[in-house]
Amino acid sequence: MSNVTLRLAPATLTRGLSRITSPTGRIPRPCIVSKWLQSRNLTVVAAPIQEAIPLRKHLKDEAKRKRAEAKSNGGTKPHAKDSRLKKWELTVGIEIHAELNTACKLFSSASAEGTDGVANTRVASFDAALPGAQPHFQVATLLPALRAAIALDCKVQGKSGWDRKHYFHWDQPNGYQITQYYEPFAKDGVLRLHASDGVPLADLNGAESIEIGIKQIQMEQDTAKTTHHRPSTYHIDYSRAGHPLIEIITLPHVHSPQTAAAVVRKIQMVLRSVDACVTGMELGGLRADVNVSVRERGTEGTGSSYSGVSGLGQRTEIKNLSSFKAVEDAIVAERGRQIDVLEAGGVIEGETRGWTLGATETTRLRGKEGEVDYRYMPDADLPPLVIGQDLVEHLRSTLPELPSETVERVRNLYGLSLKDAKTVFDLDDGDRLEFMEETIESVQRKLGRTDIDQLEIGKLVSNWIIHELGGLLTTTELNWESMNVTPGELADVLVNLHNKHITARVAKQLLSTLIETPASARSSVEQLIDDGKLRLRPLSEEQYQAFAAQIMDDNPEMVVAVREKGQKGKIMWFVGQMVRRGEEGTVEPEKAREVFDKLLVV
Amino acid sequence: MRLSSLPLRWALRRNVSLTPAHASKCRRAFSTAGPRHDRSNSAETGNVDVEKLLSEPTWSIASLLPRPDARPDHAPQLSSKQLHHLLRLSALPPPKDVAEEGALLSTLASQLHFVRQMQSVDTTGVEPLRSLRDETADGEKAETLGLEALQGALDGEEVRGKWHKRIRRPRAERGSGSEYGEWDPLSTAGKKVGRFFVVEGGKEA
Repeated sequence: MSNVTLRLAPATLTRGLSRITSPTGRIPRPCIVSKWLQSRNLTVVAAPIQEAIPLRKHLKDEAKRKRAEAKSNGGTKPHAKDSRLKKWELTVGIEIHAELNTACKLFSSASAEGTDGVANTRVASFDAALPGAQPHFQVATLLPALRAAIALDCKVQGKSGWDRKHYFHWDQPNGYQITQYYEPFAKDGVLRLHASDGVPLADLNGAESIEIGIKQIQMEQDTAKTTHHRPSTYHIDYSRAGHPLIEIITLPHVHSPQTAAAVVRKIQMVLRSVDACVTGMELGGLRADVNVSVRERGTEGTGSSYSGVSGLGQRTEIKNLSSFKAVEDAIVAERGRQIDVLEAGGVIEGETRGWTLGATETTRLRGKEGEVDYRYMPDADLPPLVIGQDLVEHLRSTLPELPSETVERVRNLYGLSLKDAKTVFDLDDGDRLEFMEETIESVQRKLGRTDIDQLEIGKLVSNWIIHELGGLLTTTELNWESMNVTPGELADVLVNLHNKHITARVAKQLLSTLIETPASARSSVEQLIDDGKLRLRPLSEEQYQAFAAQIMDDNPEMVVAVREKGQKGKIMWFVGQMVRRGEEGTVEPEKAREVFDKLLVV
Repeated sequence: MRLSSLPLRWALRRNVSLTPAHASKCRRAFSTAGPRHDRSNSAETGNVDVEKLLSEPTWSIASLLPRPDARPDHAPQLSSKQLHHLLRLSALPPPKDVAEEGALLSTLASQLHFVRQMQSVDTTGVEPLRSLRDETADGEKAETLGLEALQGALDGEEVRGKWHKRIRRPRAERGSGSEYGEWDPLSTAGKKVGRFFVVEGGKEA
């Protein structure tokens, strides 16, 4: 009948995780409980099935893919697949459902957060559909919804309505979902994507960015959480029933699977930056449905049209995609299937299909004859939603920085590379970037000189914060909140490093010490340097030469390798030896390298 | 049936003989055809026989139901398939036997006749009424959600950061379950397992 959302309910600690399978063989989304347990340093029996891919890894994969693409473009091998894609053009429309970040539910004052792991606790009488219970629109839910609409450049409608979408399902106790079918609260927005967001060059067509039109954004209720227990029993948790969602519907302007995944990713980032939706796709807070159709290039397909875009082929809908990779893979699979059918002379039926992780083809969920008649009608219990223009203007003027603006600002001010800028702004909910900016300002102040290039300092600080600090956090298994290094302390270390009072190696050690010292036993950085006798006592040129000669005498084979076999890389090995054998805080790797270069090349 | 409660002006405008035979022939119960023409007509005649006008009704409530001897009119007969589709949509049980199905079909046919009578009213330019509300300008102003209405929620948010300013709504770590502490939703459950409602989804259920 309707779309069955199968998800895991957060179980209490006393109840074991139930093995979840579904009738259609779909693998459910990652367990929220295991992440909860992990964050509290308790053991986890089953690892999450689907890990959230960290942004940095994703950027690396994207770069790799682009290189491979560039290589294959330069290659002369005609690919059978590429020729098919030359003939057939893909068109994708995306519908995203995102959970709003609110304190209360949409039409009842039950709390929208804080489960405690116990099911069926945040349920009001309207959520449980007790006879006679009335919906009351919770005004505070407008804030994240309006911010989302403004961030996506939509026109907020002064007056919008609430409609009922009728269907029977155990996760919809009222028998209808309250949504905004006839008059959504925001229309006609636009989302801009650049090559750095993951859009393939073919889609950009030489332009700097592409614009994906957003048809409308509407507010609606979420359904209850269902857990399937074999063979046909379902456990239902109504705590989620009635939670506010926004549905973002894009126009069919997307023409490749990578762009579709990029659209979903960008929307998630934008919504998170304005605090509208803070749970991501991997936790089930954002879900996507895609509509896929193909047509021969240069033709009008079957003449179907959607929302003003005409000349499209017959579309099919793929529901409940729960990760960015799933979006991309499902579209690739569906495109392949549709091309196969059309080339064999068949016709595509307008049906609803599903996708499981690791599958090669989409599965049919219901056909046209199973299409549900939702009998939309205006809800008589609710007044129309009238939004004041003053509120919209206030929110627009106080809207936080959008991700693209932040990345640009950080690159312009501090000279970070694109990859670094994108990584740092996303880490720790923006706290890491805040820390970085504070540190840069602190370093500048402590150095006191205005002639130092802010870009140079920015590069130094950002490298340390992303790589060194990040590395230390991973090895000590701390999270950002419990890290107790202050921007001032880090600034002290980096100022000393910049002034060549300490070497980089010593700086790393200092940082590591600072992280591990509890707040009570804290001493200042200067004190630590003095106590540990870490201050750089630079060696003279002769001392370097003597030391270098000693190492070269001890390792004649390596000398031979560099001099006669031309293995220049081994010079760094010599530098490493000198650093290791020298006293702490005496050898500077750069100087050592110079000395070795001179000695070994001769 | 005599409709003596009909407004006199309306009856004058109609200027149609008010016989019962005409009741079912009346296409439009409340149409307002050619008032000017009628008014001038009666003005010309000057004298209107009110008794005669009011003696015969132009419309009968009986027109809302199909006449017992009427042939099936231009409306198509409902098929059994359509009936079953509607019963499925409404989550009603299918009819037990042919007699019950016949009864359901004839009830539905008279209901549809009623609906067609409603639909025959001319409503061009009339917005459908969704609910009874204060639709005056003042009423709409009172309903507008502007800055003051949201001020409480806005005050509850905090701005994090000095350099990289972000708006964050402080999230409640643990749900204050006391809002609905008085009632336990599970008390309405027919079947439950632990803290969950239970539904048997099998086909035979």
